[in-house]
Amino acid sequence: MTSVNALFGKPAAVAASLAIGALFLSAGWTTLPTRHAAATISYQLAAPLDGNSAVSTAAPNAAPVAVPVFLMQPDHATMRSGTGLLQPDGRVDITLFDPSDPRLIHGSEALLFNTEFRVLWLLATDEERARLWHGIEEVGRGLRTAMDAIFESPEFTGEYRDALQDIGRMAIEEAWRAPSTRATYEEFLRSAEPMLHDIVGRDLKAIAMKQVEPLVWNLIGANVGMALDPFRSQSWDLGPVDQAIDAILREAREAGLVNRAARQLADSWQAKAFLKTFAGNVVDALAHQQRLRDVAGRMVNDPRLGAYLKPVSGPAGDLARLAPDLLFGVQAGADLNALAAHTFQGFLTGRGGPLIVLMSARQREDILTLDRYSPRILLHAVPQ
Amino acid sequence: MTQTSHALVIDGLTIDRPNGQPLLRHASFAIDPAEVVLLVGPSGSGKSTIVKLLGGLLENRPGEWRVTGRLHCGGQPMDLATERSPVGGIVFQDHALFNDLSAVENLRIAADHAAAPPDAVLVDGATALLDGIEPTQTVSSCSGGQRQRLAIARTLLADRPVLLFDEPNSGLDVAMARRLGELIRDLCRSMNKPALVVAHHVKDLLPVADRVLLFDTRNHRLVEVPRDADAIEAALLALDEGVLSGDGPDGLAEAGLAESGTVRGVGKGRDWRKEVGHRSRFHWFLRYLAEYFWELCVSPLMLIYMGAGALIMGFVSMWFGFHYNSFGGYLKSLLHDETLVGLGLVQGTVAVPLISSILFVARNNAIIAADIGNRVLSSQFSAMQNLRITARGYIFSAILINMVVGSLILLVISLGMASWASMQTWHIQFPMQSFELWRSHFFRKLLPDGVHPAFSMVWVLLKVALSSLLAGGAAIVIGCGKKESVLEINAAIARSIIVGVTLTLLVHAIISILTL
Repeated sequence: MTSVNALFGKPAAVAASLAIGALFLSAGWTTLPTRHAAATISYQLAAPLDGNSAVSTAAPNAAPVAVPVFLMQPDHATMRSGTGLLQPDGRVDITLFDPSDPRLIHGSEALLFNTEFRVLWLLATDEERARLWHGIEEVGRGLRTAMDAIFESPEFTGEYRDALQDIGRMAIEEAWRAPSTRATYEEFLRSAEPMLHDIVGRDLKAIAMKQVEPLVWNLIGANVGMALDPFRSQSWDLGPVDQAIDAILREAREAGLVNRAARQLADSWQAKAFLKTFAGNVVDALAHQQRLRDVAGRMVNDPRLGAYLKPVSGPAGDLARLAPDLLFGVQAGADLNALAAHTFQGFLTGRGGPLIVLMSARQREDILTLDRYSPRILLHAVPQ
Repeated sequence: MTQTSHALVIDGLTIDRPNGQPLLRHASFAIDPAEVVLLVGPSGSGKSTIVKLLGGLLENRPGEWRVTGRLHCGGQPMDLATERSPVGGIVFQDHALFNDLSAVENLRIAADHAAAPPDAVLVDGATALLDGIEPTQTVSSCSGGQRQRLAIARTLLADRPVLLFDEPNSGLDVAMARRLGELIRDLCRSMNKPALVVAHHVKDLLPVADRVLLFDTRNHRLVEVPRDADAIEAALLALDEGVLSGDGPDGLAEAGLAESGTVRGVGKGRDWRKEVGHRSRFHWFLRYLAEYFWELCVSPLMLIYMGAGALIMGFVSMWFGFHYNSFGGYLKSLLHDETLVGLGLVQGTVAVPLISSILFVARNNAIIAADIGNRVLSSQFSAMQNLRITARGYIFSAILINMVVGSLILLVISLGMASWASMQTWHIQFPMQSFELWRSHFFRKLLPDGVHPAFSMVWVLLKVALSSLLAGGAAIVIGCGKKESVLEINAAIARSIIVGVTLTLLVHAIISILTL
């Protein structure tokens, strides 16, 4: 402690400690988030917020929403450049991280998006979108080729076809017994002339039932692509129903069992409603069938069928590599894709919320050409 | 000159060693005021034990020394079997000066802890010994003779009724030993106090002694012998032959008594009196608190050491956090935000607190063990006890308070430095991004609203403070263990670091797991 004691009395040592401590603390202080910074620029939503908008706030007196602000550069690379405050009246006050950043000269205009992967698609360059489309088309072509090969393969016909047909029949019967099917069918019958009741109830039913089975397979084929999409929000493709109606009419005409009135009846909206309801219930019944899931599971894990997927594996692999690279990767000349990171985080947490992208007028027009409804236009606000 | 002038009377004193062997049987003697009595005996015979007994330092708890007999001094009889003697002020053989205090502080602390504040005459008398010594002089810069006079002055200011000198002439040549003897005799006479001088080499001190007591180790008695040097030496030789084992001569080399010129000069007595003055006990508490605060917490080297550790931790966590990524730039960018959040959380709540605590404890436990060990080895704690200074109240509490407060202060500094290093390291990897992006993500979990720390930081403070407190306590306990050589101090330092760091790791691990 002697040397310490000697040091203790020396003002220079105390001054050194104070200086070092102050230096360290001030260094730490500079890392703290900026607090209460004034807004740099303000925008106003072009259209007022409505209750259905994902970016709207619940009530007029609701709290403002913090919104991340990104800057899209001329090469479409994005970087985080500030934070916005979305007011309930649609006003957006943006505090830029560095208002003197020369890159902001390309960010005079602004669009408000919801945080979703579609934003990455919209903000991609034309070349990137073209490459992605090409990849998707290749996958689609390969998928169709693969499905055809599977359905015609001896493995499928020998092992899975009967089981699937059996499942299909059960689904049809279940769909036929469904109250909604019965209701539309009754409506269909009530709409027919009493004189046609007998023909419709006996002969036309037989013809129609004969078309239902191929109709199911056609429905599966038409909806297989959508079934692979885990984020499907569209309704089923019921185009094969129209084809089935045409087939019923054609067979009835060839059989000579129906006359002009019957054709008019089959062409009525009640008939279409019945068939659409019926077909929809068949598909729903299939979707809820445990046996179908079992058979499908076995098919997926069947290495013999896997060989038929070769036409799709190559394009799918290419697309799997290309899509993340184009949408989530770092553009040449950039060091970070902040927008992709934010979108990915929003996807994982389910708390995306709105985001703002600053861009040039030209870039804004290009995006609005692609999608005029999803992005919300922000107009320059008058300073208050 | 003095306020106290009482005879010392010992009646029927019996001392048994901790192993049950007898040291002294039914000894009775008296020392009158202003009388100098020489206690002689073979090495290891137990002379110093009598000094310790009279100074109140002999442990007589069960399993320790066993003492019976009565002591009379100033009309207050005392049962030595149950009470500690408060009468003797000891001048230790190795001086036992407080080397972290200046010369004047060594006197001041003794005066401030005396039973009654010493009057001006006593201060003048004590400080008259200090010719040639500057009040602000450090103990280490004093010569051997100066230290001896300083130790005597300090004992005088404690104003005990009896002066006890433990082998004061050890290591001195004949001339210096005689000068010292004259000094002791003059002090006794001027202060009218009885003095007991323990000595192995008697020839130099014999001229100043009024009487001589011989420690008869064969019969365990104290025998008064004539002041005849030849007879005493012959008796000692005879007794030495009977001593099977002993402590050996204490060999602390003392030198330079003569270099200070006269040991009795008045010199700057007036200045010394003013310097000694009076300080409250709170002053001494703050004095030790400040001393250890400086050494354990905020000395420049300590700050640089802790700052460097935090700097490296901040750099390493950020650099490898983003570089060790098997998917390269793709995931590095995609997971950037969450990586920053995670690194901020781990760095702020686990990594920096842990490395800060380990660095703090390792360094300070070494210092504490060395400091306490040195105080034990040089009898400073014994001196403190003899001077009625509570080591626990000043030194131990100052250490523990500073271990807790310092660890928290340095945690804040470390967090600041680590954050700064992290931010700069991140900017090296992402030079096109604004610092504000780093700030918004890095502190998302630590400062949820951007201003106030998250509640989890309470656990961080707890584990840092608790680990430092436990480690400091361990260092004190290890440092206070018996020390008979510098090697034992070195071993205590190593043990203290190991125990302190282990305790730190355990506390951090347990609290981190419990508060996950």
